[in-house]
Amino acid sequence: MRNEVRQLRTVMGLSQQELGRALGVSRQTINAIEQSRYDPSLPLAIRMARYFGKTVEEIFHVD
Amino acid sequence: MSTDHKPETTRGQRWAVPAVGLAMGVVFIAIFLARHEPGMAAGGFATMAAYVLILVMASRRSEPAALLRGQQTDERRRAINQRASTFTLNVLVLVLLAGFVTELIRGHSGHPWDVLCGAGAVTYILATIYFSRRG
Repeated sequence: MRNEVRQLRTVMGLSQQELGRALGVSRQTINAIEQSRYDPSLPLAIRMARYFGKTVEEIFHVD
Repeated sequence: MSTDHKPETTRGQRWAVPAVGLAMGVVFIAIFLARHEPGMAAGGFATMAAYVLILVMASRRSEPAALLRGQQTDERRRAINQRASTFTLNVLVLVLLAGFVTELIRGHSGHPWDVLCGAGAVTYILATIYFSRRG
């Protein structure tokens, strides 16, 4: 699953550590999501979408 | 956007693995001193203490060390722990079956491998029933 997390995070000027802290996950988890090595659960995806002010579908895409 | 989440690992959980490691070191001291083997007592405790020290020091920078320390702070880390546990279980099952079959081929009863295989099989069956009912 591809996603726009890195782009949205960069636009907001956040580090992976800061985004992870805001969402209650580790920096390594943010990194794994950005590299599409880990697909987040639906609750985490929804938390991310709310944080960025987007919908889940705008952030995550199924190839 | 103040969606700050509290860490999912408490102070007690963070120190559980190091505490158990040091407790095992103390157990080694007691056992080996009772067997009049002071060198083994010191060596056993030193090994466990070194392991705990490395875990505590490395867990801030190294994710594997943090996981070995028990810091399953989010869903991905819990998934990693689950996969590692499953992999370990599969290897253990192979070792148990190999031990059981080897003992049978040698003409022995298969004990204690038979008990371990039986305990593993029963636990797996009961766990499967329990977790499938929980959904």
